[in-house]
Amino acid sequence: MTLIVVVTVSILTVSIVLGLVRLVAAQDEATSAAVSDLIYFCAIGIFITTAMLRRTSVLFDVASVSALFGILATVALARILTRGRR
Amino acid sequence: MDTVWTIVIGVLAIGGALCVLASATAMLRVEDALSRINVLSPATGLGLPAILLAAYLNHLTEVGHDWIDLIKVLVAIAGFVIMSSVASNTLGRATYRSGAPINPRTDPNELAEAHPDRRVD
Repeated sequence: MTLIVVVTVSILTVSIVLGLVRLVAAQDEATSAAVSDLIYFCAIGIFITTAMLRRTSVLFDVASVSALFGILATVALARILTRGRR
Repeated sequence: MDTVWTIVIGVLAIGGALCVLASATAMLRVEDALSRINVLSPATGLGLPAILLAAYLNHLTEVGHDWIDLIKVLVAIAGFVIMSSVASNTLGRATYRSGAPINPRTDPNELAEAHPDRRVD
């Protein structure tokens, strides 16, 4: 089980690094929004996999709340991109 | 039986992480911001639900069945799929309207008809 967690977390970390490389290469606002989404979901994935080892009781609470409220950050970024126009 | 469960959990968790990696790699390769938002979908629609399912199966084998946990997992999976679709749609529309450069080969482009007020710098 430890091996599974280590491999999964490593792959997710590499994904975060790739996203950051993309962010450095292309510095427009929409790319920052997409990369921030990617990093957010990678962080949730890392939390879920590490929680498999540590047996925390809040695992599924955190997962469901983050899935439901992750949209808020994205919609806020979308609003910033259009400068407040709907 | 334990080995079978471990293999299933491993395939789900690592497969889900590979979906996220595929999204990140695609994000490096595509040319415009609209496509970068588009290629995020495998990560949120397939990768995260698979990782969460692996965590639930691990919980099932170690602790046992619990209806409340099952409902939380189902809510989370539905949330990942539905919310990320809505969010990426909103973000893509906002990106287009904000005047971000798009690939000239983008066709069909229905956003052009829906948003003639696109800001072009």
